[in-house]
Amino acid sequence: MKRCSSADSCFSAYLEKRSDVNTAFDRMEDQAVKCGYGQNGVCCRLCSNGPCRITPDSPKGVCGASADTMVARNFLRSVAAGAACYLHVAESTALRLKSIASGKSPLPLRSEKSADELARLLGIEGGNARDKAVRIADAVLADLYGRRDEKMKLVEKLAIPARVKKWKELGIMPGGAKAEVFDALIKTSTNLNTDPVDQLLHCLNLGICTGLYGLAMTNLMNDIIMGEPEICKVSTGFSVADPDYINIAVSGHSHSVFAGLIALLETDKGQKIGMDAGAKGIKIIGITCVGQDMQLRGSAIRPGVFAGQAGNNFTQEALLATGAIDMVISEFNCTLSGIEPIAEKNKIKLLCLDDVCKQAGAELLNDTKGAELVLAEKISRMAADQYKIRRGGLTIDVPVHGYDDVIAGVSEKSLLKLLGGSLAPVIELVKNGTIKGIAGIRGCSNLAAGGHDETTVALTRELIKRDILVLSAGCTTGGLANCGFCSPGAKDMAGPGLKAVCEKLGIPPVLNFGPCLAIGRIEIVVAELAKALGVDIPALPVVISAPQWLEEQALADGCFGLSLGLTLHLAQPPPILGSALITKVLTEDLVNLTGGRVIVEMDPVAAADKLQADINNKLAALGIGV
Amino acid sequence: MRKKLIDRSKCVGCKNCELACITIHCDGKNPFDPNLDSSIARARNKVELDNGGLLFPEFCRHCDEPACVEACMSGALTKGDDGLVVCNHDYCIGCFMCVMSCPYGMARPSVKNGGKMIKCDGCRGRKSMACVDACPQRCLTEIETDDRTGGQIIYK
Repeated sequence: MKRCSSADSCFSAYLEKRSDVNTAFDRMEDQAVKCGYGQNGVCCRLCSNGPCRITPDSPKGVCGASADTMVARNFLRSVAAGAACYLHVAESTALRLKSIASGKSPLPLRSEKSADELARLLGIEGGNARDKAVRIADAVLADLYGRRDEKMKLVEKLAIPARVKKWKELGIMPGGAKAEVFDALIKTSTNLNTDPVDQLLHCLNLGICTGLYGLAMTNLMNDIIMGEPEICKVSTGFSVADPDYINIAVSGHSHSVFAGLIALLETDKGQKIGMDAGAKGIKIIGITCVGQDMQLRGSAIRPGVFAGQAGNNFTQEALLATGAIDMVISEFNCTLSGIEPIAEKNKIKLLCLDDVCKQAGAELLNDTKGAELVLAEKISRMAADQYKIRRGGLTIDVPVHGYDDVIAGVSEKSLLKLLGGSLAPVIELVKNGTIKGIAGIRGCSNLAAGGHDETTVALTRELIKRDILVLSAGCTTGGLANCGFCSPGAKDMAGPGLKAVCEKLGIPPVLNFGPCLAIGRIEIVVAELAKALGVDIPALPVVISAPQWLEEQALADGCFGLSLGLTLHLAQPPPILGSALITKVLTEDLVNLTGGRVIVEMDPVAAADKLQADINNKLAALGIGV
Repeated sequence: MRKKLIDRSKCVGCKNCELACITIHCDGKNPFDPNLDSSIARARNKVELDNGGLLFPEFCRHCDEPACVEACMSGALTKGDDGLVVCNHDYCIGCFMCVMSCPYGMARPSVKNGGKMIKCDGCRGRKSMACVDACPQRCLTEIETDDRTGGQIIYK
């Protein structure tokens, strides 16, 4: 049977060796034939007269809906769901922050400095850091829970004035974020809104909700709870799993859900639970984005508690098949259903801490605010018990995989620190042509665009070769790190200008911002560049790409990029191509609205050509020689 | 001869065979970019319902004695040595006598090219048949046989 390829050859070799395990890489072949109507967005399942599909012989649905209406409705629904996912993370983080800062949860705020800085940004004054943190959480929650006809207050504090002005002109300043999602569902229900343009504008509005709250505010609140990112050297890959320890794999997107578990495992008492079971202790291993958040803020926790990031979303099944993982805890998305039979076979305990990610084969535990340490102890004891049950006759087979010199911890703040306090050095490098532009390569990994991480890796290789600095966040980074792109040695793959910069600063040509939430950090860097240059975001020599976007959250992220006015590349098109109108709006006309547009290009070299041409046009408009 | 075996009991009406057919006859041949505008594109096949309301994937049979070829006065339609009935669009004058005469409705008028007929070309020159490749139900399968009679389609 044919297996899907991966850009990570070491990982591929492991899959080849473990043909006894069925993973997404095998199932990809079973699902090779796709439904073209779904792919093109022209299948409507909204009523009992359907499903209706648009063909040349049947150009309208039974209700009369055109391809444009169907595509817009389907797209808005996906964007709304994606926005809802990130807003859920923002909400739960705000609730946690409030609980800790008000003293209800017996946990530390690891960076009071971050609370002071964020309060200053939001115009919250007076009181100590804890008081400010409570008021920050309240301000976020007030906006999330607000009515749709009342605009959210923090938007104008978080976005640059030129963007706010543009958003007001377009009428896309969001009201209460949850209400915006709610009304998007109404709009896209049966025989309601049929105006494709109105629906696309709603997508941009939800993009702003996603970017500023789901991404940016979640990061900034988690910095207060879990500590500020600092640039550091870390390990990634399957080799981070040391079979001598009890290994708890974590999956999801809410770093602070693990505040209690991390706090407990930092203590001797916590580690003793593991030792009493016969292990050397207990370690946490990242398998999806939340691990990359731990990697990002790794400097703020006791060394050794977090072992490292094993890979990205599609490597988790194989990691579990190694036998080295004793427990998987999911608090949010990206845990694959496919791990369940593997977990059953290998006696791996599956836990969920939020019913939004409840898996059929997992036990759901209540994550009550205030009882985080009680839950942490319960989880640790369950992991220890599982270790005792399963480790006896089990063969553990962890391949040598990954890199021990990955440079992580890059954030909008740590980057400034590295550069001596401002972005001026970057601007100077662009102006003098040493760096030919900046590309944000972010988002998911999928198996569809040429294989696992294949397009991400090929595009990144092509961009850095052309001296374009790459900022990466999300599963793209998890994959790139395991292919060596986030290690200093990757400088040798860069063009001469970028290579010299890497050598001088001791950084790789791909800066690892961590989880997909950190797309919000890349956007902050972009906004800061705009401020420093005194221009609006669309004028910057910056492009973004989600080469291997996977799901609805990525679409919501993409809408944020477009509302910011950035040029966004996707290898595979979103399900819109059944509508010529919407395809034209997103790929051409949007430039005249927000300044952004979508480029769809599957071929990595052609994509790099198009992205570089876009950057060059912008450099020329800024009067910077190309 | 390459023939198409059709197990209609497996058809779920996804119409992927139609879309695949439109796609390979579009200029770009990009599965993500079929032109669904009826003034330009049209499938050479169609999933229909029979009199009993059951799904029936309808394809050109490439008949042994094709009525369309019989009716074609311009000589555009011919049955080739490979058994396929194909239209040469350089000769088609759009009289649509073929459309009138095909008992299966698989000689179809098209607005494109100034209103000529279109029909299944049996994916002549392609390694495999596009409709067969796109069928998620394995309702359509391709078989190789020495029997050149009975057209190109075998309904199971």
